[in-house]
Amino acid sequence: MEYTILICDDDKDILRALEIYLAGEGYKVAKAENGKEAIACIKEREIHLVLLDVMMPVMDGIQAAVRIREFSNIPILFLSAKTEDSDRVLGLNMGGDDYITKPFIPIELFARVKAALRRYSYLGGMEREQNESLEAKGTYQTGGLVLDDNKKMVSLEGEEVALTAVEFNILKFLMSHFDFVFSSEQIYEAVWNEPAFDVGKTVSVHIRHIREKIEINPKEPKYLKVIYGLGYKVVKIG
Amino acid sequence: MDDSGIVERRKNLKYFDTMPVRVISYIICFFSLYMVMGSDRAFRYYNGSIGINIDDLMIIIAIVLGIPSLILFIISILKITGEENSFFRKIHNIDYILCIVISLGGIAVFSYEYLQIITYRINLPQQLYLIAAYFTAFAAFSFGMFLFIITIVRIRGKRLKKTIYWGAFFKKYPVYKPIGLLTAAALAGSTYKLFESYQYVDYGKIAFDTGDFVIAFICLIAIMTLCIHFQSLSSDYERMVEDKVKAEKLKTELITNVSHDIRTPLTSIINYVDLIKKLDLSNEDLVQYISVLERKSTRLKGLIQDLMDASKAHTGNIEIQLENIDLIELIHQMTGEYDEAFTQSQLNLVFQHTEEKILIVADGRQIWRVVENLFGNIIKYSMPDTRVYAEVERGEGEVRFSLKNISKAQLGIPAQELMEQFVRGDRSRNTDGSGLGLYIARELMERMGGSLQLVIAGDLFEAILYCPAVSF
Repeated sequence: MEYTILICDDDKDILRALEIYLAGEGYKVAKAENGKEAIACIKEREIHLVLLDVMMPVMDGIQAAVRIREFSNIPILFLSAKTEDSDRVLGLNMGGDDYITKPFIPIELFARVKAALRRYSYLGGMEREQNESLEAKGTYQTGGLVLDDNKKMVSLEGEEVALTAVEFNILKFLMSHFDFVFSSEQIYEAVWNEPAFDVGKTVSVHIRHIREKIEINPKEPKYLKVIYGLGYKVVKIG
Repeated sequence: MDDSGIVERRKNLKYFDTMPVRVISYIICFFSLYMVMGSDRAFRYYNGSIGINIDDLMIIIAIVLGIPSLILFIISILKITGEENSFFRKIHNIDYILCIVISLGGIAVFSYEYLQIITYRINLPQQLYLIAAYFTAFAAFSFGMFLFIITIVRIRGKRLKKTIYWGAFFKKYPVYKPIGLLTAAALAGSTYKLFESYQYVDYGKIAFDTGDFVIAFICLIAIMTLCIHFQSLSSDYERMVEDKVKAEKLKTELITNVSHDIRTPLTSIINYVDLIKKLDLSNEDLVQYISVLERKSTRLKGLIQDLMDASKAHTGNIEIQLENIDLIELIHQMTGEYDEAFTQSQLNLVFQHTEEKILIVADGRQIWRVVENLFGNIIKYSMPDTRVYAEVERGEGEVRFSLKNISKAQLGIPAQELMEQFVRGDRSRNTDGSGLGLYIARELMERMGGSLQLVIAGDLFEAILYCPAVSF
């Protein structure tokens, strides 16, 4: 399916660069230079995703997001040079689905756009029926990550992820106890079924590999989080 | 009495707040208060045979002046939170003046009355005493009003605690220090003297022992003035500290804003360099040049982030949430993260620890950053194919974590300088890293109640973290 992405930024050079990038990835692109134009554009055309800058004249990104959320559920990805945690939290609280900081890495941008679109079509406005099948036993789901213990399969927004047996077991253990923090030792004992003696970095190396496979940006994980000095957990999202 | 709140609102009446006027008004108030205690008897006693008409007239004038102003005072207190230009607010703004005016008015009224009395059959010394006595009667009323008003004002402005400065004074100069002791003694002594000077009124005697009273009173005034002076000094100091904190905050805000302003054009630079890379470049030189641009612009990106982090760490703008962290687990987690990097750099990590679990008090996120910085440095600056030693041991109330590695390049700098801002081992400032890492790490450790030390011996580089241990 061909998606139309609206990019909104008051800097024309950034708009042009984004247009070239996104067109190169096969998306159709609409442009706006402030919040007001963005809202008008969404009302006129069928837009599937919005890349929204925060600092803009006339109407800033945050206000625009609030207005957009009044009538539409499409993914809003903030793209901003304001990098403070407080800025990020504000954006996500005001209706944003993601927050990407400038300068950004193009590959990461593409991955996030793709993920957001898949999430929208997977669990969002288009295919809600799939939701019910997830309630079946032996499946664990958080956000777009689904682990099926019956089929021994892990998928991220519908696409299968190849994990080793150990990685699968570790992930299953963490996902069967969402939001619980387990130390390396506890994970070792549960997965290897042996007393944890001199666990060392074994578990954390596996965790890292899992993160690299299921996270868009392993340094800013969305699902598999590191709690420094305590252990690891998988968070339940939606 | 530090009535700074009232002072703020009386911009055009500054001259009434000067020391002489204050002192005089205090004197008036004190005498009045005192006289209220004794005046009633004197008044009753001598009120014998004055012509009723003038007397009544004087009293009526006094009542006509006094009671409405009293009512206005009360209303103005209650209406203090009204609109800026309301009538009551205006009254309230000049309450201090009104106090003095009423005192003087009262004095005028009653002195007139007494001039009547004393021209009758009373001798001079007693006349003078009576004048003094009545002189203070109405001023006492004003003092009572003044105190009442200020207290209400301060309660409403929630400033009462701050303006009772005796607590702060004695906190700064406690009783066991000379200044505190002297002040306390003088205060106690003069208050006692003041009460002692009041004597029972008897026929022919005056209501107070003038000598005692005057001495006590002067002492009290002197002490209060001194203390106000000290208090204003300390509040100046507090204001100075406040200003400094504000300046630091502005500095951080400035850096945050500038950082945002730099990131925006940098985004375009990085984007277009990347797009150029994707074009068909036949010219080899072009490929090289683009590669240089890419590296340098990425470096700029890192520098801006470092700058913001350093500024936040320095001004203490990072939120620290202390909790119990297992340091052994954290290091296991970190070694996992850096496993590949170590292998690639042909480094072998040896982790020595005597216990399986050692708890420290730290902010998880920040201590992760510190340790990550140390590990990052190891990857960057270690000689390949060497061993890296990590050691954790428990000390007295603290935990010691040391990380030793062999340096790739020669370190010509003393350890302390290495940690100062912007210095790096490689003096030519050529390799990656802005040099802020160790500085930030040290600041973070200190904010968590620990410390970071560096020890250099030839090519051996050791970073030591001291963290407070969890006490049970």
